[in-house]
Amino acid sequence: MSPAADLSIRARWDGQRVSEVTTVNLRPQGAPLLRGLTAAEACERVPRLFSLCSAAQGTAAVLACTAAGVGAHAPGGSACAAQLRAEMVREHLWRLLLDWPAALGRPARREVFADSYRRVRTAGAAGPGATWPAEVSAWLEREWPAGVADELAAGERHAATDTGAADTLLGVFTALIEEDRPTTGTDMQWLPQQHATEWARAFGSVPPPAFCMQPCLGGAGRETGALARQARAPAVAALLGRGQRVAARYRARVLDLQECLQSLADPSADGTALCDAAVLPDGGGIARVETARGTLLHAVRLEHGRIDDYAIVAPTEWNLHPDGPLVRETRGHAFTGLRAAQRHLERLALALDPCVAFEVSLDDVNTRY
Amino acid sequence: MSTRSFAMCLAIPARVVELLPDGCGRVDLGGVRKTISLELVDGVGVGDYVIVHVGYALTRLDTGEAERTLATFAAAGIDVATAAHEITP
Repeated sequence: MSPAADLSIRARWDGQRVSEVTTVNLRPQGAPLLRGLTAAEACERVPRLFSLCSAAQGTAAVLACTAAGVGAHAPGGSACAAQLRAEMVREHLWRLLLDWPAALGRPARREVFADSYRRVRTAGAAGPGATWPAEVSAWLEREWPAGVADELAAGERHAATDTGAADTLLGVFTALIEEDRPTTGTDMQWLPQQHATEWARAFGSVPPPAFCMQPCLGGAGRETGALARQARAPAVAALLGRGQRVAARYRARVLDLQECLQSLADPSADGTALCDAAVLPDGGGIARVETARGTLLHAVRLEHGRIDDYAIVAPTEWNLHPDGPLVRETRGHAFTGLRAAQRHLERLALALDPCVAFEVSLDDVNTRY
Repeated sequence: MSTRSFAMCLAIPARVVELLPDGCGRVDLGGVRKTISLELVDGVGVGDYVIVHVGYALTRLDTGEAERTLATFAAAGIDVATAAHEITP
């Protein structure tokens, strides 16, 4: 096995079923990075530490510290929401234009992605007069003729009759519908989208490191992200009803992207609170920020003006929990062969959207000796 | 004083050591050299620092910020050379 991946998903194939699935987290730990700092120092450092969701991480740090009673410059309002949504757009486009085509053996759409990525980053948060959300929306409408996609999702149009170009977002979705192995008999457990006050009540204090690495709620691993947000949308619900959960996650991501762009184009119509914070019962602070990958939580407690305790509970850890959706939707499930099982594991992992590189290895127990 | 740990997509600065054709470049992370794409960042030159994720440079940092970040990771015992294998394919 290559040591190149931060996240290693290891499974066993018994000839008919995936008999065992484990996730191994090899990522470097950042334990001392914020310990002992003042709140101001930590808030300056946090956005520099994370490569992907730096805006979300930075916002969460400031909100948590403010809730803990330190710092009076809490972000908020439309500018903060726009920055967070722009970051969500970038992350969604990365998956849709680079990773999903590659997962289906198609060329990554590097030019389109690079152009969109630079445009979103350069324009920063959308404000009055910003044109890029409308431009990206127009492109998305060409890639995703809504009526066709909804008919495919509802099973009212056979995928083979779709005339969408293979390399468009719709083309990838069409292929996923054709190839997605239905998953049945496994409950889906969502991480609730709740306010920071409810998280404060649930945690009581800064959660310990063991919880941060394997968070659970009600004793179960929970799913967070686009599907958790969009599960009730008719097109997504139709796919879930047929057990096509990988396709459902892809559809949910496109829906998430559409909503982000709509909110950026018309902030007054954005009714979703993307971030908030609350005081923990022990006097610390906890912040919640919604990201492309799901709910991000930061919790902090300070002593004598310096950070004594800090925790980050990130979407990747919820979704790749040892008893989370990846394991529940594969362990014990039958496939037509080893290759089909490997492919499903890889696509499911991609659909659950870890924030680091991952690799999947499937050990055929029948070929060991 | 209690400690907490978190494992994240760490933004480890990489120094650009060579520009290559087709929008690529070679970067150095703790002595490990990797070829990455520079398509997402404009105006990158040799000696600049960039943040890399799965083979792409995402942003450019000024030298002072990059050196402060590298010092932070070093103080935390994070091996940048090992991370190089994890942030580039």
